Amino acid sequence: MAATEKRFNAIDGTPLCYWRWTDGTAGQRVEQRTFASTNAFYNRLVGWARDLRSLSQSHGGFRSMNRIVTAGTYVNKPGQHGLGQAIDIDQVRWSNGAITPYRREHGSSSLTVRRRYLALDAVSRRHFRYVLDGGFNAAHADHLHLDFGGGAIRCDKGSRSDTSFVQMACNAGMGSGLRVDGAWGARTQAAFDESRRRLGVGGNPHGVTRDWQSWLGRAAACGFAGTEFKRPPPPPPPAEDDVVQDLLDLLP
Amino acid sequence: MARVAHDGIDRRSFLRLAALGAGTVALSTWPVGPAAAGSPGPGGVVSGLAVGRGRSVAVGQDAAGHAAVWLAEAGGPWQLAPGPPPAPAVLGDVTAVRGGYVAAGSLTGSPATWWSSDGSSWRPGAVLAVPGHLVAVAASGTGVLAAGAVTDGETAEGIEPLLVTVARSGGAWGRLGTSGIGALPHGSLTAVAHHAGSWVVAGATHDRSTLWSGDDGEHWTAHPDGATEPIVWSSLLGAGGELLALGTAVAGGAVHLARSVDGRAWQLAPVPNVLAELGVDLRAAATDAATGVVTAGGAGALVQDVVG
Repeated sequence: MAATEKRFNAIDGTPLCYWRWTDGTAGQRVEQRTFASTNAFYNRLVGWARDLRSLSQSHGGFRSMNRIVTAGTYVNKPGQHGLGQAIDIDQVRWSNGAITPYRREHGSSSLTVRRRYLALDAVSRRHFRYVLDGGFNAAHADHLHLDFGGGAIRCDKGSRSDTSFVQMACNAGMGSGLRVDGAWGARTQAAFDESRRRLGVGGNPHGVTRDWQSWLGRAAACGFAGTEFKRPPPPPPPAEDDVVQDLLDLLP
Repeated sequence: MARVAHDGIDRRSFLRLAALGAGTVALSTWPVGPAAAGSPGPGGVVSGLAVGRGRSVAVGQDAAGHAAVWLAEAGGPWQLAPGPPPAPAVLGDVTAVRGGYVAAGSLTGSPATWWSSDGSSWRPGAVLAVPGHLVAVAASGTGVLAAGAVTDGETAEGIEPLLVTVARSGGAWGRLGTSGIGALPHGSLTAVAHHAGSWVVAGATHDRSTLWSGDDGEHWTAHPDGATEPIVWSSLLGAGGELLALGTAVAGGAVHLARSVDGRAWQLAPVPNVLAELGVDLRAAATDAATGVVTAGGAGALVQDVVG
């Protein structure tokens, strides 16, 4: 399993791009590049991209994912990047919208923008044990870091990464007013219990992968839909162009 | 040699880079696999190299992910060292010192060093009581400096630069200030060398790569590398009186080369095709100015050549 055995410039058909130039064009000039990882990590990315397409379209009306901007996959440095088992996400763009961690959207004044950022975060956690975000520390304020480290996918109360995410999600989804400090205390526990009730998620998210993935999927659905936490919202009404197309389809 | 004659670099560096190029030619013919006993082989990774007194020492990890050390006499075959640091050691780099070698890396997530008199068997040096890693180590006539990053404590992601002085025995050290380097969010110092009377270090984050010089190892002055994208400068090589920085781009892993006479003013230089072909798999390189031995390594291979 070599760290660079898989070379790719797209994830499941969506172009993979870069924009962190040092010539003053960072965040503006976008260039498709070839990146590297292990085969297993790339395969996990494919599953992530398909899940993201499905949830974002079903609940947020996002269509035609056409660009993923990364700050790097395999990089010659210690840790999961050096093992070819990590990716940093700057932006995912669809034909009718984008989620851009690079713009520090976790701290946006727009609740809708924050909810969408957390929806992308939640979908990422359905596939990767470690997701580091803007709530985790300042080093991740401008991207989402996804990697293979840390074992089975679950909600670990002892993880600052998991805890700060739950705190941000409960704040955005229920107005919980939690301090995002990565420490799982009584108030975080109460908010998480309430979120499970609202989202209709039972089981044991702290020990059973599918239960945590269920919570994440329903939280992501609410985030893409721009709603507070509740049972999975129905898919949004079709966009105007879809309505027009439906009418055209009815014509003889 | 003829394959790099068009690259436009001056004669002084040309000899050294030509040797690197010849080494990379050997890469394509090196019998990687079971027949190449002693070489890293598929899945093995060389992360650091040291050459001196006609012997080369490579450190990294084997295909099983365990710390590994390979040894070669000039021009000879690589042999797997019998006594590498035991698990869970992670080896980042190695340098030759008077009387032996010092390796730097990490042990259970904390910066660590090891020492060996001959490269064959290693004994533990010191472990620094902070989360972090060391990825580069170099020696001057009077001291040893190791570089890396302090990590966030939960993952291996760097949050601030780490510089330490290391005793020649590898057994004691002191943490140095990093005035002038600043924070390195999601990054690390990546290479260190002693050149023209000063220390030079390289580092990279998501957004920039920089080289710094400092006379005392504690106060640093930044020097732009001239690149238009962040480069992980993984090796600083003394060659013909110049200092060469060799590394790969964060985005895509293309090999980059920069040159400096004084370690302060840097200029990007064309990369010989044969070196560029290593691409994202280039991890480490080292020169021995006394013997002309040049060694390059990375994922799955180790190559060596002698300047003619």
